[in-house]
Amino acid sequence: MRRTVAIVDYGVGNHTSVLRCVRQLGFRARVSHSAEQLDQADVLVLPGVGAFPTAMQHLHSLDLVSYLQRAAQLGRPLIGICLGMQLLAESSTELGFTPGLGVIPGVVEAIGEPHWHIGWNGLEVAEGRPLLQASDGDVMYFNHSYVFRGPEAFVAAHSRVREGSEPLVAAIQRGSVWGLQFHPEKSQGPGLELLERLIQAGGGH
Amino acid sequence: MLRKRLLGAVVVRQGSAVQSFGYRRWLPLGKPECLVENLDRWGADGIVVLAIDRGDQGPDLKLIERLGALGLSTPLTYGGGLATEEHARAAVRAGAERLVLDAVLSHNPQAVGAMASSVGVQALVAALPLLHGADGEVQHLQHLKGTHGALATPIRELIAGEHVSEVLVIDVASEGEGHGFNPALLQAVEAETALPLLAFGGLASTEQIRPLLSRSQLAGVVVGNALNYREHAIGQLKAALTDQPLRLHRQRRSL
Amino acid sequence: MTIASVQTCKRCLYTTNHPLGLVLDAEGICSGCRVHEEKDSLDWAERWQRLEQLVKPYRSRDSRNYDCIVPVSGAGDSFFIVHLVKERLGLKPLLVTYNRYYNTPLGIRNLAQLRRHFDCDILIQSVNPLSVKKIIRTTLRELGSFHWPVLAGQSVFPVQTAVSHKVPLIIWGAHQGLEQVGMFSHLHEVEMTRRYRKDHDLMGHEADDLLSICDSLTEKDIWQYRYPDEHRLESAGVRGIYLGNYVRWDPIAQHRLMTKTAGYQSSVLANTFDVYDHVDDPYYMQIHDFIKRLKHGYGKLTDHLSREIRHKRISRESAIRLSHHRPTLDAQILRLFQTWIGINLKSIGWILDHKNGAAAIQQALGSDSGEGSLFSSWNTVTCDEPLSSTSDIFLNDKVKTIVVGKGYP
Repeated sequence: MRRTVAIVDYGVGNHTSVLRCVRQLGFRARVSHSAEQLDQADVLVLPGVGAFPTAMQHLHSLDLVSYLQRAAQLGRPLIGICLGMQLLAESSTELGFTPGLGVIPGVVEAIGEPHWHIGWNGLEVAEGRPLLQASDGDVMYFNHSYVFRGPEAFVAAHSRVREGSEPLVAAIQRGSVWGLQFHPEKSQGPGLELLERLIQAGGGH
Repeated sequence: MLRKRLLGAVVVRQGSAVQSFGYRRWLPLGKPECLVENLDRWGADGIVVLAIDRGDQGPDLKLIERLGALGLSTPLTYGGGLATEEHARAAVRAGAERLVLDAVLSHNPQAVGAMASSVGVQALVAALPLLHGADGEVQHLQHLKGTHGALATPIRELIAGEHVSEVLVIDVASEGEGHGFNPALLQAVEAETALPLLAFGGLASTEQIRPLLSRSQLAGVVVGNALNYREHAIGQLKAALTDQPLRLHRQRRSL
Repeated sequence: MTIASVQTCKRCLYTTNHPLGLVLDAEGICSGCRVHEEKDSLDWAERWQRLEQLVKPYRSRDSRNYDCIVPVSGAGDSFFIVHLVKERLGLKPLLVTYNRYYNTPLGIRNLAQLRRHFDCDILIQSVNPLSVKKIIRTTLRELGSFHWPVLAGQSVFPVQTAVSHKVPLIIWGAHQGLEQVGMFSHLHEVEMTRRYRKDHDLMGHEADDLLSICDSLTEKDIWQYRYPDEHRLESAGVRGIYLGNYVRWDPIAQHRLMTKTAGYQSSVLANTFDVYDHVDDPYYMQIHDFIKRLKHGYGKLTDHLSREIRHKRISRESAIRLSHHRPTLDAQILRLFQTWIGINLKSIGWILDHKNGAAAIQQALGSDSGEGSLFSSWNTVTCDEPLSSTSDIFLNDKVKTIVVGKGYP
């Protein structure tokens, strides 16, 4: 049975790519911020582009913070993409300190050196992440300047700007909740295949 | 390890995609949507859409929306008419991942800071159309005014201070002719900034592309006209550049 | 673009409104005329050598397979293309042709002559007529075109065949964008691309795009027109080249040669002086040309005149005079079309009504073109040889078209 997907619309970023991509993969999908409509979907996708504080502000004003926290507690499948992944963390220091959704322990901080991680980079999948394993070594599209830092227990994959440079967290997972720092919907074949796997598995382990 | 990129350019003039020759001559190509969709299908590492005749009309948001509606699975960069923070925000909202800034660098460099706070520095790329002046010095072309001269101080400060995340170096004289890109232009910019560079103008063959990719500061090349003369042009270029740190062509089955 | 900004080339008759896009230079000469000038300045012997080098790797060492695919029809440049491929390049071609359903007897006759004179194998594709008519009704309504299946079929069947028969090289004649508007220089050696096909041949709509427009069309009606998968094309190395990049392309000269040496036959056609190009299609110079005029403001006559101005067979002044010919429609042929497609005249008029289609059709039906006098004076207007028709079976007495496969070769 094909999963149904709801893409959370909180007024930040452009959802057309994610929506089209998910539909192209054969899933029924809609864009919404209404709790009632989000309730009807099997899998929630939280996209995001731009600044952390603005995004959290929008989520608060739409009453989506507690909704998403409860969804995670209930074990509902939730996939955060790019800024959407960062929002899953406890806090971020982007443009000042802002609390996040706190669904996955860890914080979001500036990358350091270099200042941005932009372009195509290979995924190094951590042990014990069977759903992600098939994407080990795949090259995905990244575009961010802040990065997740947190306990290894929740880190599912890394990516490295240069040989020997600090591994940047590329994916996180806790229970039914996944976070992808890269843009699977902009990573052509490999990205679409990964997204399809995660959605169909319903965020399972 | 971060890969270098092979990007496809779509130059848009009066709403149509054109082949551009040195910012002076144009030949028709077709609908921008058809070219962009084609580059997406071919697996380009990114698509750069440059609307070169916007003047002070602001960005072509309707074009960006139409391109966004195609459901691309390739990152889209847009340039043309971006002058204010509102323009930048609107362009990203309409579907552009990254933005190319050109005229605004000369007319109103202060606006770049506001754009950066709004859409993030990683979304901004500074375009520098360069050529050799009469005395052989590398000069900056302000194509809307039609003049060229030394790179203005505010622009040098912008790229030295990393208020944008990449610099798109454009070889104006070579553009469109397919005879190669002038590396002296890259050298001149490497002296001003440590930012990653992209090279655009005159690139058509792997022999021309290879030496550029081996420069450590070069993050990618942008190819325009030459991609329109044969089928699978991106794949053909990548197949002959497997010795370079580019993303492999077609890691998985195509969709 | 506003009407005020439309400009005409100072040499040929094209305007900047041309659907393929047309650019004028500082002297007011268009990109099409400029690229045409290359025909008189390029070293064609050298370019022929380039062609020989290009096709060399495709010469099959295995006598059981073909060297290349050559798309043909019962008209156009097909005879000359096959002559070049088989007799000058010495390649073994597999001819492929798409059956448009409403073929003229002359078109069928020419196709048989082509195959027999050049001693070639040929594959003919016919898509089931129900689907074709369903598609035409959709494209007529949504794109103002009933020609879509012919364009789609002619452009994709050779590519599908290249994949299925493992013959990667496809050889075409002239590139329309290059010849008409100078979209490319001969030196670019432009090749066939899916992008150009969708953008220009198919008016921005591939087979699957038709599905999203109209519900009554289903996948089973259109899948035959789908381009093969990208991955398969790339790994098979499918490639389409244009002889026009390597040979000084001159359709009238080529047709005269083929009429003399290979038995090609021509016919007087309505609404133009050319007797060679579209003799296989009864509607092309009739309702198709009519719709072209409504949509783009000019008919095939302008294409033919611009071509001959550039080949210096007619002066601009004489061409302009000929271009004032009033378009006509033959009532019998129109009825034939209506019956076949199953739409009555009023509906066709209504579909095109945003440009006063119905009234214009009536006017054209009633118009006496006097073209007999206008076009038969071609050789006095141009001091060129007469353009003569060599066949009287363009359409037979009963005005019937032929579907390939019903007892015809």
